[in-house]
Amino acid sequence: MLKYIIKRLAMSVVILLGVSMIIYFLIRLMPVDFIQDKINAINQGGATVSEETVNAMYEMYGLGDNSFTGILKGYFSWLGALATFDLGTSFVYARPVADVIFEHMGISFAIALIATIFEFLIAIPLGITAATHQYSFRDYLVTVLVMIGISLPSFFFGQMLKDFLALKLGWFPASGLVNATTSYTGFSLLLDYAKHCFIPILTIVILSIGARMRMTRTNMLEVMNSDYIRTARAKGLEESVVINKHAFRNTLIPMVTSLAGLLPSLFSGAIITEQVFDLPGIGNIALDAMNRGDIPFIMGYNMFLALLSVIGVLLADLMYGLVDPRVKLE
Amino acid sequence: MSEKNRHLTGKEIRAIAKENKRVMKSLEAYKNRKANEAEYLAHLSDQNNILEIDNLHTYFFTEQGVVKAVNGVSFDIPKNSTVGVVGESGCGKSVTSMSVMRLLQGPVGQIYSGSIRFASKEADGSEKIYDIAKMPINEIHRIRGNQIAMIFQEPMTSLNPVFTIGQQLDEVTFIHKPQATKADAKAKSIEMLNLVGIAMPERVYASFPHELSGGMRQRVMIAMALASDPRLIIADEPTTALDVTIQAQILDLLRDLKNKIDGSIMLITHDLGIIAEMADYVVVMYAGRVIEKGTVDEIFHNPMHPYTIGLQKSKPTLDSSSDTLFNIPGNVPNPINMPDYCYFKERCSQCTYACSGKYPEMIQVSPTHFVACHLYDKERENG
Repeated sequence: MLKYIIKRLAMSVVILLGVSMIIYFLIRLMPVDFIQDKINAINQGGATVSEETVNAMYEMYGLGDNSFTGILKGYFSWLGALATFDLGTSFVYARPVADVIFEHMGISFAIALIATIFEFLIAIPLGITAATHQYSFRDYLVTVLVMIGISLPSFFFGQMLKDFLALKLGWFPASGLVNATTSYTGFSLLLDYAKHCFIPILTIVILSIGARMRMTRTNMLEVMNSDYIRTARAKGLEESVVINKHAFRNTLIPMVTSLAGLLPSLFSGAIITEQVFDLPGIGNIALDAMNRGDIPFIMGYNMFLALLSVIGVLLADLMYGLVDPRVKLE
Repeated sequence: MSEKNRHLTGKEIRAIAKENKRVMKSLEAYKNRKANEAEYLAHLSDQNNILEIDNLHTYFFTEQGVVKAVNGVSFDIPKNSTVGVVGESGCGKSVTSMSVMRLLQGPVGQIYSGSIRFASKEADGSEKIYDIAKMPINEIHRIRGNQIAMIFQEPMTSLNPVFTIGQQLDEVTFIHKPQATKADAKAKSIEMLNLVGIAMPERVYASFPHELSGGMRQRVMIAMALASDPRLIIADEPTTALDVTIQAQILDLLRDLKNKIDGSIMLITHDLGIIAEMADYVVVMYAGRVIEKGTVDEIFHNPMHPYTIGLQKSKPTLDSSSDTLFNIPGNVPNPINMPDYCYFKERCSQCTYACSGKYPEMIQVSPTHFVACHLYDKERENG
């Protein structure tokens, strides 16, 4: 087991190296130029920047040489810094990338975690009822409702919820993370956070239930039609035991694999939802950094997600070994 | 032929769907109803029987129409006997057994009418006759798994892959003896594994199904069926998925067990050899109906229905000089539009004028031998 984990981790390093290379080269090829934008801004202010200053700035940021060898050199200097656990300094925020990520990640993680918990709590029972009452009114009703949820774009649905719950009814604040006019502390601060995050979480939950519910339903249906469920019934077990013990334990197996994709999404931030509700989450920050060509930040952020993806897949494989006795990890 | 195989129009499909929905809804409601015990108590026609299936109709309400998979089946299972049910694939053997166990996949599969009378042994030792077909589904646990146990065709997939053999066996004890402790259940499970001839019961007890071979799994399934001390074991083609040497072992095991447990076996198979070896009585089914039934002697030495005769002829033998195997020409009629006349008429080599008439009735030719064929109409008239 330990040998398997070590082997997988060693493989992960190779994967991450490949990922970092691809991301770095893609960013350098991107048609955004942080320096040019900065100079344009200065020029608009009325001042003029000399050619030498511009070149000096390119050199300073390490973007002077755009030839292949230049990009390669840039990549290896980034990699060298990474070896000493230094993600570099963000162009836009002028602070260490790691600090910026960890400052904004908390709120995104909290929202994503709460939303995911609710997603599972709602979608799995719905999927099970839909499967055990296949083709009944209940099945169709659940399916139609969650399909509506899945089809709504988040910028539209989030805006609608905001319009209705915040602007029309005034039950919740419309945007931001804290009340700007009062400064809370302790429990009331937490309550204020909760109030601000309610609509974004609601939006994410409604939009994500559909996929999970359909997945549960399909898995459950497949299991319910299997021979061992017939055996369980033939033994004289009650239907609730058949469903909740014999069938559910088997639907867990594919559900565990889907957890792999979940780990990075917990930390990546909901870019569009954060935009709609003006939340200072990591998704919002990352989008801004992307638009402005903040190379160290984009590298740091994406590598962080890549690391989480690799860990997530490894965890899923380990969990597989736990829930399915047929899987042996070697 | 073209009339039978044509595609249904949208209008017809909608009409079928509407009618199916109506019937299925009322049958489902009947199945899920709450009822007094008096409603499903019954009487046996012969006290020596343990199970009497009487004019059973089990239908499947499909999009193409109603499939009458079991269409008026009647036969009895006497106490301490083995009854073999034989017939080709799709003749309704398994559906009959599923009806007895009430394991039909609803809402599509439903018992439409008929009765299944079972002599249940109550906790105080007395006998009570229940009509399983009329029992509400939430009362079925009194009988299913408890007094009637079933062994399935597919040992490879019939055990839950995520639980150990021990967990799955113990469960049976816990269902039927809720006051049992974990140690009691384990002792019983080990005893059962010993009984079915498993060499290292302790080790198998702790194994997962995927760690066992097909023959071992079928033994475990048999142990599971025995754990509740059933009065009737339904074995639905228990050896079909196993290779020949294991088949013989499993059949020997079943025969031994019948003597040990003092119960009856309903053995479903399409293998006449197994029937000859195992059964006391034989029921021959064709297209959802019983066409001939009698003792094993009568069916093998004096087969009367042309289909039974054909079945016996199509059995491969070692001493036959011919290299081609006899087969009965033609196919089973479409189960959705069954004709009014004998279902075997189009494949029968001995048709008479009467065969175009209505479906033949069961004719008694000896106290135990019955056949449904117009060839023997005369004998009925003679008495």
